[in-house]
Amino acid sequence: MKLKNQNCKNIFFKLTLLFFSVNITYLYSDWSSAVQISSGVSSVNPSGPYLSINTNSVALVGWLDGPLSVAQTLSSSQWFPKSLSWTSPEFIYSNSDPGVFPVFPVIGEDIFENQFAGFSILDSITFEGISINLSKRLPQDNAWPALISQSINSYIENGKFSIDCLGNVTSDLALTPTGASPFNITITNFSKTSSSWLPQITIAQDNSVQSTLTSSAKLNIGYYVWKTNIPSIQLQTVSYNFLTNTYSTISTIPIPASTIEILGIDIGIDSEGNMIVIYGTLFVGGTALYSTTLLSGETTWSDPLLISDPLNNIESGSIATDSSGSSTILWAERRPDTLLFFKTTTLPLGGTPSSTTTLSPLGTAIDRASEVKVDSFGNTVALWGITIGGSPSIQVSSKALGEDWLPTETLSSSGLLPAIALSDQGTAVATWVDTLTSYVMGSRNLFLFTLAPPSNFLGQIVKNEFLTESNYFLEMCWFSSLAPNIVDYKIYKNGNLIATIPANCPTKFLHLLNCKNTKETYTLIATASNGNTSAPIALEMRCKCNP
Amino acid sequence: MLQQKIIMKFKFSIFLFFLFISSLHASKWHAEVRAGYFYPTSKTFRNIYENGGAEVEGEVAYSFNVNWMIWGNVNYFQRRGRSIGFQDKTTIYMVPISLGFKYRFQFNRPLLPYLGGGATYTFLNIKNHSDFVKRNVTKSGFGFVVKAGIYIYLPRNFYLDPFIDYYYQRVNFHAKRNVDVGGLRIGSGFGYRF
Repeated sequence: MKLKNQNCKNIFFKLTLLFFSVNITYLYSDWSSAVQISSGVSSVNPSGPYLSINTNSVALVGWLDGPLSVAQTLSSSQWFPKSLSWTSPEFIYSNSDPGVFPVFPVIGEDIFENQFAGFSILDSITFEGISINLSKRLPQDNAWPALISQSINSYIENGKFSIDCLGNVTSDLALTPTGASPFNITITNFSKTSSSWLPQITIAQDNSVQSTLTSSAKLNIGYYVWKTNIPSIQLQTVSYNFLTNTYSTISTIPIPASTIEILGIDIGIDSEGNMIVIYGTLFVGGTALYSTTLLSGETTWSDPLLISDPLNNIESGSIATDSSGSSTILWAERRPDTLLFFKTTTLPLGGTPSSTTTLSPLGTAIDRASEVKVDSFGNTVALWGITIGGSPSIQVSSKALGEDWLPTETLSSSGLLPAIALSDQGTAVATWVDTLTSYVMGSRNLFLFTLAPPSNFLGQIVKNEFLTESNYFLEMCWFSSLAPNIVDYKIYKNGNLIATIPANCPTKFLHLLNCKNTKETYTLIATASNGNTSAPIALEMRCKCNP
Repeated sequence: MLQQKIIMKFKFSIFLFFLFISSLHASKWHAEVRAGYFYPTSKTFRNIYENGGAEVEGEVAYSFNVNWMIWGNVNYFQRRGRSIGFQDKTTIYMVPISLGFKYRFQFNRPLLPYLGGGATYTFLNIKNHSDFVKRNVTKSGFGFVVKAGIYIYLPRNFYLDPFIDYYYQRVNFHAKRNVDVGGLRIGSGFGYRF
């Protein structure tokens, strides 16, 4: 009798545990708990950690180690989806000279898995730029190679590096020989086919107190946007074609007439080269976020489109554009009662924004490094920092294409400088600096989104007849998944696996039918190198075979 | 040169042999080789093996009466083809052995039309190049044959034999697979009477 009771208790315990675990899965989705990435003393640098993810969902993060008063090193670590672990930190750049450290770094990878680290080196005592640098690490390299440098010999006020998936690097720097405005807006590029930086080009001047600029690289094109107040405040842009080594003519982006100052700029570019720019404006009485679009092949920018609530002030903005030109914008608004929150909206190419969604709870301060990323298929993830109740929290939310934003999750209650990367295989990696330990921390969601499924899964019954006998086959074919690095396709018949077809084989399969007059459901699932799978696509067949 | 001499000698020896035989008997035996085209009855057969093809035969007949003859025939047919559907390779080998009677109509020598019939027993081998069917199938079975032709007697006991034969030969490959591997055979024979 006693034994029986204990059994009942065990069953009850298991049921409770099951219920509990289901609840945990629902509430916290699949974001891992935070893990420490850096091992040294990490400084809270204004523009780090720097994060990228490649087509195999291998993440690469770079960060600065060491306080500003002594020499800082730029280090990196890789995260592998198969082992779910970060590698030990490796030096990209290390200098024993106190106060000399990298600024505006960018980390990236091309589709050939070459790794890039681009950055300037600054003397923090004189604020004089020393050089712009690139380290290009091939997959077989055991360590980051020596830097490919080009001297600057000018004060450096602002800058932005960017790397495209083909291995082209852009830099857009605001330089000044005197240490004060006017700033020379200087572009220096590194082509994937060259072994040294291309000649510096000063494209414009800005006589403002503070410069604002950005650059982006995508598919052999570099895009540069900067603010200038010569002769009046305006936004200008130019593009550079790495293949032809030519610049476009400089065009002016229309901004509201009431603009006093440009606060920040971000660029979204789709696969066709359509360019969407968001920028924050300061006007009498507040700040606002605007967007404007330049369609590929055209020369005229669209009129400014107000994104933010005119009753509030904006404090940050980030844009990400998918391959179809649809953009997701994340920004923070401060209400008149001084509380802040993050909002998002989707902006179709050439259209007007959808209704806005409030992502975060109300906070007292936000982290300007907050950003949104979108994959090629329109799945979106946003990561932001917001101070709630005195705790700087790192929060995340995501939205699959055509669905609503998921409930916000808090990854850390002691984080700054959030960075997020999203692969086209549905894996997302987030990093930040822990305010308590100053370590770079990371979290990942291996399967944040399902893999882009194969399409056009079709089948036809084919009779193969010899004189001696005949067989009936279901001949299935499909279009490959558009996600990168697909490993195989699995075909299930009524839920049972019947075939695994390697992705490098033709996308078709013959299945011998048993010719019973039954309805059978075949499903096709793609699997990527990170282990993620697509949603099944089904094919229903009723086999009626003549003997 | 030596080869040609040997061939010439061989041909001459055969000629002398037939000449000798003809002098011993009163032309009761007919021996001929035949070549023709086999057109299968079965549409499936035709679709797989490209509407049939050439075949060769050897036939011997003995006239035990002015009109009646008993005859025996061996036939060989081989053809490559492809399955209907996936075009998998397949090859058929067929050897029908037949025995029967002929009736010669004595209308107008040297042209003697005839009609005949008989039983046939066919050996069949099919090689299929596919993993989904039996690769090597060997079957045999009885059937019948009706035949017609004209003996065209030539000088020196030679003759021609334009013919048209119809074979009916069903082969049971399995329970639901019964195929007529017979068909029309049209061609001509060249023979010698002795």
